[in-house]
Amino acid sequence: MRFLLFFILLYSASVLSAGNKPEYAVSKIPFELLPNAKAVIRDSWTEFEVKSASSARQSVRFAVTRFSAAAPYSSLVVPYNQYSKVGKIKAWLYDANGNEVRKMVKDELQDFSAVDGVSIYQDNRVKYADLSYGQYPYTIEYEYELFYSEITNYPMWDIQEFGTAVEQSQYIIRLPETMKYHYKKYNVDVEPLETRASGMVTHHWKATKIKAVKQEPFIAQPFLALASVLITPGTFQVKGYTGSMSSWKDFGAFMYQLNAGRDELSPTMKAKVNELIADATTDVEKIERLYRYLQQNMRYVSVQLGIGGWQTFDANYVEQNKYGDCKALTNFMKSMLKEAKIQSYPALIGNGSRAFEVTEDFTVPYFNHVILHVPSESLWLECTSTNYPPNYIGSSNADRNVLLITEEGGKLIRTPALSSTDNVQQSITTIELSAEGEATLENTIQLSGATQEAYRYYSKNMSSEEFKKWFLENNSLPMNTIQALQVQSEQERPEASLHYKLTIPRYASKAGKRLFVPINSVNVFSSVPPEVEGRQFQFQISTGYQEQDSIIFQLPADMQIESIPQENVQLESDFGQYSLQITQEAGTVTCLRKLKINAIKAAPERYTELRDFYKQIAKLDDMKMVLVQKRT
Amino acid sequence: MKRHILSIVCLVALYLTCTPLFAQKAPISWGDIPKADLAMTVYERDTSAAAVVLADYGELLLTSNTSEYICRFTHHKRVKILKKSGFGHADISIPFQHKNGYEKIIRAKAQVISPSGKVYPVSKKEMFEETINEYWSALKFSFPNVEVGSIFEYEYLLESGNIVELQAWDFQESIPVRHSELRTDLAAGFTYLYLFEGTDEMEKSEEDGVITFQGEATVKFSDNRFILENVPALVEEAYITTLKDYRARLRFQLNKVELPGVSKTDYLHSWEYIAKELLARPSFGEQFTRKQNYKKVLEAVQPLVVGKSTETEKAEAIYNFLAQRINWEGYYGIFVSEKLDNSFEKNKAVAAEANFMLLAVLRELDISADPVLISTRSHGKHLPKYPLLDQFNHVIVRAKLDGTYQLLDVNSPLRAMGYPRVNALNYKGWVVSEKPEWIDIESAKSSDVFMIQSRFAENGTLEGEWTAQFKGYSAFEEREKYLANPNAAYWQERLAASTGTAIIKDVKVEKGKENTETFRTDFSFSIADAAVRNGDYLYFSPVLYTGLKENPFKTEKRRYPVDFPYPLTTQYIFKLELPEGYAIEALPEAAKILLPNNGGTFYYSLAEKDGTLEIVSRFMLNQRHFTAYQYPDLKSFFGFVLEKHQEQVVLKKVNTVAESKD
Repeated sequence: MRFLLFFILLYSASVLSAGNKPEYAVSKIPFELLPNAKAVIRDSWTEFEVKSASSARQSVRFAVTRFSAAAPYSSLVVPYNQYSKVGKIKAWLYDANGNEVRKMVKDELQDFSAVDGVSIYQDNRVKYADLSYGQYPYTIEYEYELFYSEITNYPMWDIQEFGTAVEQSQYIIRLPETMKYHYKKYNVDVEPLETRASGMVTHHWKATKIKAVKQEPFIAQPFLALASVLITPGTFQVKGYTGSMSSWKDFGAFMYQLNAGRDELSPTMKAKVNELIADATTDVEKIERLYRYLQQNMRYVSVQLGIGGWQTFDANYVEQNKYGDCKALTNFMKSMLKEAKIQSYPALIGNGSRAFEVTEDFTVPYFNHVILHVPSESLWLECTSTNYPPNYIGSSNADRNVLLITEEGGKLIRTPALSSTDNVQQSITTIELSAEGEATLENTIQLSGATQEAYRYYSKNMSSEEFKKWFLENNSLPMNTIQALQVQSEQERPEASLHYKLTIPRYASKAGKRLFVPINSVNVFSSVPPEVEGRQFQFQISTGYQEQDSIIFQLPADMQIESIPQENVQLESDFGQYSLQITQEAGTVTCLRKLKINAIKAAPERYTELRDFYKQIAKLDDMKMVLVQKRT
Repeated sequence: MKRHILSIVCLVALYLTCTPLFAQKAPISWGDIPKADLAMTVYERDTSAAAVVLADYGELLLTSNTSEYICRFTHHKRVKILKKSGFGHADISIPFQHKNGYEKIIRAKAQVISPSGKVYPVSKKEMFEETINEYWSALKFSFPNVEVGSIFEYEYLLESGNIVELQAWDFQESIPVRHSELRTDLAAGFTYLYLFEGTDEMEKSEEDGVITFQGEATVKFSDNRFILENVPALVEEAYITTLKDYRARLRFQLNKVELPGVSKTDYLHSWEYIAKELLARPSFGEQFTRKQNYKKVLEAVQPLVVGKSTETEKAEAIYNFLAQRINWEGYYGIFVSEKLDNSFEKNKAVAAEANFMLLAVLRELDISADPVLISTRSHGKHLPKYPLLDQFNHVIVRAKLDGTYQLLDVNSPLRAMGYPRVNALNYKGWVVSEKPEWIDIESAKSSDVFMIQSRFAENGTLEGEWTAQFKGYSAFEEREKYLANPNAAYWQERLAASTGTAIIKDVKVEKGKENTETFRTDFSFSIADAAVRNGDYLYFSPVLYTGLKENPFKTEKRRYPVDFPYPLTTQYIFKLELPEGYAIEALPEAAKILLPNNGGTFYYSLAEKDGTLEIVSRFMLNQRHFTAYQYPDLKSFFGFVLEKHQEQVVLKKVNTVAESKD
C-alpha cells in the first residue's frame, strides 16, 4: 500500500503543466554553450525505478532547443517490446520566446516495427513522432513512461550527441537497498547524491553546462568523445534466469546458463557429423569439413521473438529448418564440433562500426552478433557467411574485444586483426594506345584480406550479367566497351581476382599533335578526408592495406614522349608509403606504383599531416604524360 | 504486324458473363510437381536467373457473405531455386491492410520440395503475422531446408472488403516468370474496368488476341482469364520516373453495379461528375471554400498583401510566406488529413493542406485559382482516358495572375513561385473545376552559367575570378548547398576534386537566403597545380568545373526510356590572359554536335584575341524523354561532352627557337 502511494506521488510530480515556458526562451541559454551547438538540451530528466530484478519503471522528461534543420532530436522515439509497456507520451512545442505553439496530438504518434526486413521476424517496436517545426529556433519538450516486466539492462545516462550542448541533465536511479548497480563515466565528472528511505536507495546524478562536441572524421571511438554514464544492473532476471553484470565472468556465466543444453544433435545428425569427419586426420581438417557443411546447407534467417535476442534456438531447430540466425548457426556449429570432440565457444561481438568497444574494466553487453572460437586451434568461424574460408571472419569482426562464453563464465579476448600484409591488392595492366587516343586496356587484379571481401561477395552472389552491370556503373574509366570480364574468389583462401579487358575510344585526350595520357587510371587514390579546423580528437585509420600496380603502356608507333611529370617519386611517413617509378624503353612506358596505408592512431595535431600525405598521393595518381608525334 | 502501343492502358473486357466458378482446371495443383521442373538446373530463357517463378496463379472471386460483398483472392505461387544467390526468394512477406479488419489472411499453407522429391511443410508456428504500422501487416515465413534445385510453393486466401479496387495482379517481378495467370469470377451485376499497365515498351501483334511482350512473353486474354507467359525479370535502371511504369500489371476498378431490385450505381463517373463531387467534399473542396477551415491562415496573410497592387505581387507574398513557414510532412495525397487552420498552427502540413491554404487565400483576394491533381513521377503515369481518382497522389494550384496562368506548389522554402516540385513534373495535370480539363505541365528550363577570368601567376598558379549563375531548379539546389555550407567550401572540392589544392576566397552571394529563381556566387580562386610545366611547354585543362562529372549512362543496353525531369543548359566561358612570353601551341578542336530532333546540343569553341584565350562550352539538353532506342545516342552525347572537357591546351614559350632540331 505504501508502495503504491509513493508511486502515485512520483507520477504526479512529473506531470508537466501546459502553457508557456519562459524558461525555454532562447535568450536564457548561457552564451558559453553556443559554440558548435546545433541544439541545446535545456532540461533532461530520467528516472529509473527498479522494483525487483525483473521489474522497473522509467520516466523521462526532455526539453531541447533546435537551431536548424541540421540539429539532432527532431523526433520522439520510444523503443519497446513485449516486456516493456509504454505509458503516457506527451509532447509540446515552444517558440523562441518559450511560448507554447502546440501540443502533440494523438494521431501524430505512430507505432511501427523497429526493424524491417523480409527474413527478420522480431517484436521490437517503436513509438515515433516527428516533432519538426518550420521556424528556428524552437524548443521541443516531451515526457513518457516505460514499464518493464523483464530487465536485460538499465538505460544509460545519455547526456549528449554530437553538436549538442547541455544546460542541465539529471538521472535518478532508485532501487531496493538489497540491490546494486554499476556505472562508468565518460567525459563528465560528477558524483551522485545518495538518499535512503523506506528500504530504497536513490542516487541522483546531475550535470550542468556541458559544451557541444563537434563531429570529426576518423574519431577512434565516437562514443568516447561524448558525455555519458553507462549504468548496468548488479542483478537482473530474464525468464527466470538470474544474471549479473558485476563482471564479465558473471555475465558470461549467465549467458552460458541461458543457452546450456541447447547443443544436442539428433542421432541422424550425429551420424552425419561422424561420416563427414570419418577420414579427417587433424582437428583443423575436421573443423573445415564441418564448417563447409554448415555453409552449404544452412542459411541466415533471423527469428528473434521474446528473449530470442539472448537465447539461441537449439541445434535441432537448425537441423530441421536448415536456417537460423547468428546465435542458432553458431550454436549448431558448436554442437557439430562437440560431436567431433572439439571444444568451441561462442564469442559475443560488436559487428561493424567501432563506435564503442567493450573493455575489461566495465561489464556492459553492447554486442550485436556472435561468432565461434576454437581455442585449441586459435581459430575463428563466422557462421553466418556462406562463402568465407574457415578461420576468416572479415573486417567487420576483426581486431576487437569479444566476450567468450565458457562453462567457467565470460572471458574477454580479442579477435585477430587484418594487417596491411593481409590486405593486399596487386595488379598488372597493359594499355595499348593508338595515335587517336584509343586504348585497349587489360587488367588483372589479385586481392586478399579486407580488399577481397566485396569481390568475393560479387563472385558468389551476382550473375555474370549483374556483375557486368555493376562493373560498368562503378568503374571510373571513360566510356568503355567490355571485351572480357571475370571475377573469381578462392574457395580456401581469403583471395579474389578480377580480370577485365576494355576498349576505351578516348582514353587519352588529344590536342593537335599531342596526346595527354593518364598514367594511373585503374587504381586512383582519391579518399582525401575533409579539412577540420582546430581538430580536437585523436584520429584512427583502422584498416591498413597495400597496393602494387604495374601499368605498361604500348605507345603508338609514330609518337614519342614529350613529358613525364615525375619519373621517380618516393613518399614516406608514419601514415604510409608511396612510390612511383616510371621507366621508358623503346615504344613502352612502365609505371610501377606502390602504396601502403598504415593503420594508425595519432594525435589531433597530426591530422593536417595525414591530409597532406593523402593529398600528395591523390595528386601523383592524377598525373598525365604527354606524347607528341615524331617528326619525320 | 508488330507495332508499338502508344497508350499504356488497354481496355480488355467490359462485359463479364456469369461462368461456373473457375470451371477449367487450374494451371498448377498443390504438390503436383512435374519431374522436368524438379530436374531443371538452368532456366533456359534467362540462364543467369538465380530463381524462376514456375507458375503464379490467382483467382479473384467477388462474392457476398451474409451482409456485404467481399473479394476473395486465392494466390498459389511456385518458385524454383536455381542458384545459392536465389535463396533470399525463399523468404516470403505477404502484406495486407489490417486496419479495421479491412483485409485478412484466412488461411495459408506452404511447402518446399527438395530436388530428390522430399516434401517439407512449413509449420504454422513458423508463420508470423507482423504489424508493420497502423495500416499494414504482413504474413512472413521462410522456407526450411532450401537447397539449390528446391521448389517451393505457397497458397493463401486473402479476404478483402475493398470491392471498388480489387487486388491488382503483377505479372512481372525481379526474377523471370514462366507462367502467370489470373482468373476472375466477379458477381453478376458488377462491371469493372480492366487496366493493363506496363505496356509502354511492349510490342503487340494483333493476331488472335496474342500479344508479344518485349519479343519474349506471350499474353492471352479471354473474358475472365489473363495469362502472360515467359515474362522477363524486371531490372532497375537510373533516370526513370518509376519502375512501376514498366511493370506488367493488371488492375480492376469498379465501374458500375446493377443488381436486381436495386437502382444502378455508377462507380466510374465522368470527369465532370468527379470534379463536382470533389469540390463538395469536406476533405477537398470545403477546405478552401468554407472560411471556418482557413480563418487563421487568412488572418495571418492579410497584412502581407497590403500595398501590393498586382496579382502576381500578392500571390508571391503569400506563396513566400507559406513556403517559409509551413514544413512539409513528407506525405503526398490529394486530401487533407485535418483542417487547414490546424495544420497552419502546427507549421507543418501534408502537400494538399499547404497548397489548399494558398488556394483558399488567393480566392479570398479574388484571384482565379483552381486545384490541379497530379500523379508524381514516383507515383506513375497519368491515365487521362479513365476517370479514376486513384491515379493521382498530389495536388498543386493553378492561378491566373495578371492574365497569365502559373503553377504554384508550396512546401519548400527554397523553391520560387512558378516552379512545382521536381517530383510533380510528370507531364500532365487535371484541373478540378466546374469545367475540368487536362493540362500539360511544362517544366521551366534550368541553366548554369560559369564565367571565369583567369591568369597564371609567376609561380605557375592559376588565379582568377569566378562567377557562377544558376537559374531555376539548379538555383534552388545550389542555394540549398550554399546554406548548408555558407563559406562555399564545396567549390574547393569542385575545382580540384581529387587533390584538394584549390583555394577559394572572397565569396560573395546575391540573395543567398531567399527563394528567388536565380542564384549567383562570385569568388576568387587559385589552383596551384592547374598547369604542368615541362621545359618550354605549359599544359593545362581549361574546363575546371561544369557540374557534369561523369557519364550517367554506362551500361550498353537499356530496356526503359530515359526521363529527365526538366531541360538543362550549362554554359562555361573561360578567359585566360596568356602569360607573358607564351603563345598557343595547340588547342582542342572546336566541335558542335546535335542529338536528333534538337534533343540536345553541344557547342565548343576556342579563340584567341589580344593575348586572351577564350573558350566557350555550351551544353543543352532540350528534350526530357528519350526512348530506349535513342539511348546509344544519348550515351555517346554525354560521353563526348565529358571527353571534350578533359582536353588540354598547350602553351609554348615564344622567345625560343621555333622547334628544336633533332
